[in-house]
Amino acid sequence: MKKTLYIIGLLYCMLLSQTVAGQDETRLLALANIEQQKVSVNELLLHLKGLEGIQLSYSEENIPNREIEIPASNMTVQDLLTLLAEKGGLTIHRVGKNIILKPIKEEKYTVSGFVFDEANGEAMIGATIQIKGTQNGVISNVYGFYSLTLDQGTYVLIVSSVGFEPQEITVDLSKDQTIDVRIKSEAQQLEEVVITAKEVDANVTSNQMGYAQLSSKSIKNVPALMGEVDVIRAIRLLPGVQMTSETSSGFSVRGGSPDQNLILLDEAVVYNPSHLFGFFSTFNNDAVKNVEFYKGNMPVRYGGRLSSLLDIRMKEGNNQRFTLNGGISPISARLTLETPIVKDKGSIIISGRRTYADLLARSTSNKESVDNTTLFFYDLNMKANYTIDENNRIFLSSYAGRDVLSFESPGGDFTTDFRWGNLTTTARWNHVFNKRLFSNTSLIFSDYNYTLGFGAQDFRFDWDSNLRDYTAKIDFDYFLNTKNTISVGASSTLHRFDPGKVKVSGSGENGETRISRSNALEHAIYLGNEHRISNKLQLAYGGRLGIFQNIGEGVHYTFDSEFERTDSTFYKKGEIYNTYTQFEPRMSATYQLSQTSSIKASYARTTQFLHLASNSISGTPLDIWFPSSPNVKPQLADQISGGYFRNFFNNKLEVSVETYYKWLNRQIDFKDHAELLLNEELEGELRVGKAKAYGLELMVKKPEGKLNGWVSFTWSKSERQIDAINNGKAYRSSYDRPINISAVGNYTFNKRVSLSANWVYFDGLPFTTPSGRMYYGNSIVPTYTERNGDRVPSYHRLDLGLTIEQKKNEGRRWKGSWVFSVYNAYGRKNANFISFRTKEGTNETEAIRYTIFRWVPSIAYNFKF
Amino acid sequence: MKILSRHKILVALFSILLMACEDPIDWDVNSDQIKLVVEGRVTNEFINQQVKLTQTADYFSSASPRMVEGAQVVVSDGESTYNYEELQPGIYTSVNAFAGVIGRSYSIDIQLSSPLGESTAFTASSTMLPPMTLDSLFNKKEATFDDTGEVSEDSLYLLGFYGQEVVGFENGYFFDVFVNDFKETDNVVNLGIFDDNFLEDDYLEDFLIYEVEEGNPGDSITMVLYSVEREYVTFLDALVAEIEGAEPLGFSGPPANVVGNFSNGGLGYFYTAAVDTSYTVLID
Repeated sequence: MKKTLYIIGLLYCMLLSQTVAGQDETRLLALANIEQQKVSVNELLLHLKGLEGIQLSYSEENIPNREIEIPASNMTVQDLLTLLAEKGGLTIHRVGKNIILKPIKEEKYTVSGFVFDEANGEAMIGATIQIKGTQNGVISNVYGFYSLTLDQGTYVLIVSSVGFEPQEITVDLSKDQTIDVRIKSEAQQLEEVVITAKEVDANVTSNQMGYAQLSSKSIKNVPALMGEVDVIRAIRLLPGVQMTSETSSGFSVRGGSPDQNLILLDEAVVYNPSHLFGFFSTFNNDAVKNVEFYKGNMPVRYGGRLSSLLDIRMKEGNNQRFTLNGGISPISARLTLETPIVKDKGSIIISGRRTYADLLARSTSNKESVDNTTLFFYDLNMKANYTIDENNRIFLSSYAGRDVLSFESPGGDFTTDFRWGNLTTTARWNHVFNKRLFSNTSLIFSDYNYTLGFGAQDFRFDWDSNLRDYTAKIDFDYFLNTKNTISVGASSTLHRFDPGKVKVSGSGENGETRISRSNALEHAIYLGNEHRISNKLQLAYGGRLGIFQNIGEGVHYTFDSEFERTDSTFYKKGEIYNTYTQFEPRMSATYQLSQTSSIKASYARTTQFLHLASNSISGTPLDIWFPSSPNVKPQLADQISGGYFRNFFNNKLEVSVETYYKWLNRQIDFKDHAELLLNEELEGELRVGKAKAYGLELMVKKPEGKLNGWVSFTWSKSERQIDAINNGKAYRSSYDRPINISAVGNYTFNKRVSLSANWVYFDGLPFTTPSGRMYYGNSIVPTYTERNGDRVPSYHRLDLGLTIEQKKNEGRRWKGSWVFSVYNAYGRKNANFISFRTKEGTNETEAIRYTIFRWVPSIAYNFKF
Repeated sequence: MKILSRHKILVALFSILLMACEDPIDWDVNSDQIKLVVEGRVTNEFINQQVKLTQTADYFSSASPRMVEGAQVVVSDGESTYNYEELQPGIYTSVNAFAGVIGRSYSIDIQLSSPLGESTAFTASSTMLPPMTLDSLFNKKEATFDDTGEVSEDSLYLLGFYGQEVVGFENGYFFDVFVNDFKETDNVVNLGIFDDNFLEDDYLEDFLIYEVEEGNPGDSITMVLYSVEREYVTFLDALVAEIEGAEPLGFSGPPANVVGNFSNGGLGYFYTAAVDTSYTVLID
């Protein structure tokens, strides 16, 4: 539109130029009435336009984003035009009375570098680098790298991130430059930010929906269960995220199942994120730097799960000075050590956590039975990084976590031993090819395994299972210009499944049963672009091609329509016997309606090649992952979403409404009374069908201030239809909770004392209630009509937390704080589930409500050194 | 190995952790259509074979099952047809005694005087597989521990056996245990149940299979082993899962109807069983 006006204006001017020439020289020599100051080119042009008799023709889009200094206050219009020509990057043509301005085709230069936290040298993920006075800018990538390519000139860049003081840097771009920026954390009282927005108006301006970024600091503010700060419990306070059960680390995103969430720790898949059967998650918050969470429209770089991406990045370690921090809670002790290897160049972090509930129980009880029970978990996070030169940086990170539950009867006649855990290792190399092209190459290993053993006098039973991934991937970020940032890359993973091996030994029966191992390759290539079309419209678009291959050595069973095995085929090592290829288009758009409001829309397709065999709501450590195969087609989902985002009171209050509709195909459920463990013919237990989910999510958030927090409201539905289940009629998915409300608040009284509270409401989980009873074999057996036809009573809970920092002792580095918290403060008897049983000694049946947690108070002490 | 079912292992482990508090609450359930429930079998013993017909009831009802009277029951094996008569209400007995023959397929036809569910006619069939015959049944005494970890006075007897698992079929087995003619296995949950899923045609040596909790030296033990189609054991396993109900954290999966082998929505099962009986006497 503007271009058209410009052309019409130009034609008009040319027609008139002959007649009016000569009469306006005087106007150009008139004073421009402008003070001595710094102004942007655009502002100066607007000023000139407003002067009487001056007609400027230019296209706003093409005006360089730069500032120029007005040297004196007595400048004439002519002087200013000359100034614009010299410093404003414009060519000026006079056509009679009209002055036509066009940008000079200039050399472009690139400024690039890394953004770091000044205090500890950690790379800043998602910091904004904006050109002052404009909307243009870039966001630092997950390694803190940024690159901006601009016309020659002088610019002021504002580097900002929430919780940090914005920093202005003046760049004189007459050649390519490398500038590493170190930004400072804001003063203490502003730290109590809960969920950070990238910049003050990011809610409205960023081309992101269904997205949240959390720092470890903000996760810490959520009142913790038994003093254990937990990423996943914090995630579950976001709209559209449902807890599966109170005792589980699982979560359901927009109607999906827990195995449809991609959970990454430094890029390695964490297959079972739970400790202690799900009471706690595997992520030790002391080692967590940043968490990004996507509810469906995940970036093209990621794939392999349908519903969400939880991308957790570990801290790199302080490269400025040695620090120690830790804490104790009623159930665990934590210690984290960070130290530079070479100041500013490399550092190392080691963080450990171990629970000691069993040790406590032992010291307080003389019972032998307690003496012989071991129950604990530990986590160990380690990471090292080294900056070789300005273009090369290497990282090595590793996580090991394990749960141990064992029991030995007095005299050692009977023992049980159950262990499970994840092990991940990631080696990375960041390489800056040139000022605009950043690459990261990663080699990743991930392992989940469990062992379960029983021993009696002359009998042993050992059960092992494991899943291993070996991944190589390369990702490129190409910062084409201020309007386009391209990401491209490829990855390849070898999955090795060893679903179960059982060994029985002792007198009598001896033997070994092994469920067939299998292997699969999962490859992906992707290409995407974040494209700023104009100041108002931003797009992100791209695609991901996923390829999945079953590879020998393996066995494939053929099933008939009754799910009976009819045949089996063996494949030799290295033989690829099945391939699935799936293209996933993804796109999103943001249109800014005004400075304070925008509308956003997105579409994403996702594919899932690995599936979890779990028949329980909350998941168990014994659940196994199994691959797609000729019998099991990959799961597929399409999601569209739209939203309206608006900020009020100068960005102090953020409001958003999002709505989505999701079609899920080839959803896997299990036949009635399925046997999922140690079953060679597991694929025969699967029943496949469709699902759909839709909902509306409202969020009102006050991100900063003495009082901060948010209130979210979700209304959603999710249902499944599978021919062999519920007589083929649609039924509620197991995680369908239509109404979900979360309110989260933090109040800072002073520098030392802050209070946090959260209240949640969930509609009860659907479950299947009996509709009748039959007698068989002298027993009463329930009968049913509808799967998930009933609901557990609704769930609500208030948690409170009070943090008191110890008085600061000048000159001492030791900083301690006490955290007091109460989980379920008003002690509601929330039903975790309902079950039915026959009253002792009668024929009568009663319903029983099982409550897990009421009033769980705890005290934790944390320190920093 | 099958002494401890997989579910029981899990529940045992988890109950250590679970500080769940249980309390009864009022709960309404929707009533279902009333359906026919059949419990019938043909064994290889020469006896008057029996079939029991009952109907489903409201979930919270505490009354004894209502019998289905006035039905016509006929069993045939392709060569002979056996008519049944209702000697007691709902209990139908073959007019003539007969023994099931290994390898034959038996089918049952039930004709009701008035419909249950949407039908009056129900059929099912089952093939009689060869029996596993035990070479010997033995017992051994085990020490038990009380809550404090002390050796308890109550002793526990383990029953085990030697025998060849039936070769060449997918078999299921269940057994009754009698202590001095008292039936220990008085309901489905107490039945001994196993299948040949992990045993495939093995010779079973020292195969520990059952615990007698309150036995005394000198008690005589009878084990009646029924060899059936594996599907019937799958049905029994599902019954046990349903009777024991939703377990903490839901290991058993969503509850669902236990579907037997009857047509037209009839519940229950009609199965064939080859029987083998063994004895042992508890020793100190």
